[in-house]
Amino acid sequence: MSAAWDRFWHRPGSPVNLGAARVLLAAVGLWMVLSRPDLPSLLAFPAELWMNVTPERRLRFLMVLPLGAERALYALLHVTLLCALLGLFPRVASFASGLLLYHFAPFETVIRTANPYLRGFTIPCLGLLVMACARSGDAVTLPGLWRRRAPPEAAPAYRWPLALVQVFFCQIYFFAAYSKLFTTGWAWLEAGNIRGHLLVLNQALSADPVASWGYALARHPALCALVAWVGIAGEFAFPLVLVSERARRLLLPLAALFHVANSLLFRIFFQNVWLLLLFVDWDRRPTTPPRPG
Amino acid sequence: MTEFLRGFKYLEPAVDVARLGVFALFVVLGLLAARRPDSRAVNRFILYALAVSCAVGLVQVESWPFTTWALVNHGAPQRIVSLELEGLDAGGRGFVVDLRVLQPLAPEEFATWLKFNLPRLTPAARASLGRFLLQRAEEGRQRLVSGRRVAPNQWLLGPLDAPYHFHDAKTWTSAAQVPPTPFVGLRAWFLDWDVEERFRDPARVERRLLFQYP
Repeated sequence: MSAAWDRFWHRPGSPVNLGAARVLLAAVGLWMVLSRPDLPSLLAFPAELWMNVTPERRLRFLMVLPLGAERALYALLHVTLLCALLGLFPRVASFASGLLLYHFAPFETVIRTANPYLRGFTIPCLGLLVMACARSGDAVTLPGLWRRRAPPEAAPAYRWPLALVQVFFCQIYFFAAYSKLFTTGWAWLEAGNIRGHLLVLNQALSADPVASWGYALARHPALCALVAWVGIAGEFAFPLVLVSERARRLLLPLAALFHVANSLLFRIFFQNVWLLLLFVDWDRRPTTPPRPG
Repeated sequence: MTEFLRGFKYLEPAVDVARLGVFALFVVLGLLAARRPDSRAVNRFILYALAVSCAVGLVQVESWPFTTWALVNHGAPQRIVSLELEGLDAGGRGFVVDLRVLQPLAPEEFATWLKFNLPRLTPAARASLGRFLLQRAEEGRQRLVSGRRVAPNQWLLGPLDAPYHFHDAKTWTSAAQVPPTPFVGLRAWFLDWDVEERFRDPARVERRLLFQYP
């Protein structure tokens, strides 16, 4: 058990891959905050909208500052994410970015729920905090590129942080499948249920549901059942990418395809789709030890 | 187990503070692993992260940023309710408002909030909400007729912005969909329909007036 643990977490890993993970997490985080240019303005929305937000919930996310201060912090978040992306003071920048993402992500949903998952901030928040605790600035940085500094050799210190972020990412798929069976049971897999979701989501979210791809699929019960079984099997199987190179070659393109299909058929967009690139081996140096599997 | 835990609703405020503790401990253990990067400190950090994230996933009770990842996990509903805002011009004519004017608040967040909280709103609170919605609708109308982007989230990145998890219906595509003069009033409706009936006949949608402002 201990040997398997060490083999998974503490084998030598590439500083380039860890640096690339920092860049990816910061880039996705930056894309999300640039796409919500005035998120703190929610504080200025009518007080009625905030009536269910308890003082304890505000405390949980440290939502205790006035709007002006929040806007200044939000501007700072842009700067720290950019620094983390470019590798300028990468660990400090990643740490500040992680904490500020923890603070700002709930703004999007806090009037209804304190669980702002599936809004694109969760993995960047956790991932950047992990990057801050590791040597994620030893490669793939602007200063390193400028000085043409060669990245260091592979070491265990570069392996565990990337592996931990990859585990967090795999949990998205695994628990998405688990929650369907946990909440609804095997009935979730029935063709009628998938048809129902296709109709509901397209009727609620499409300007013209009749012309939608979701409606077209909903007319074929066998295809609806196939979508259910393939989807849930793929989600349960996704964590195999953690241990098998062959699984990566198969499941990573399938996951990308899965998200395109989700967007077209179910009108669901996954903002963290770019983080599938966390599993790419960016270090092509011959000294990199071969990956098992 | 999940229902049992959710039964302690009155403890929610205290649980919120405890969740801050869960996150704070994650940060502290991470800092300790960074300060003393021996395998013991690192293993403690990894074990904690795994334990919390797996516990949250298995019992399906969030402690964000450790979360359930539940997505479209319920059985499909037979009936659904959707929000529609209607701007009124000085002549009393109604125009459907593009809900993207509410950004950075996602339309589904506002619609769900309204569904559960509207009955609790006093007349004064409804008027305050109505004033806010009218102002948002009018600002959006002005952006549309002047050729700017309707969605506030697209101010910087334009169409390259990150969409919300559920795609917004982009209601406003042309200035002809709004009046040339300002909105002076607003109606909020819930559209209510049976999913299968609407599949057979797209017109089978009932409208229920929630409130009108002023």
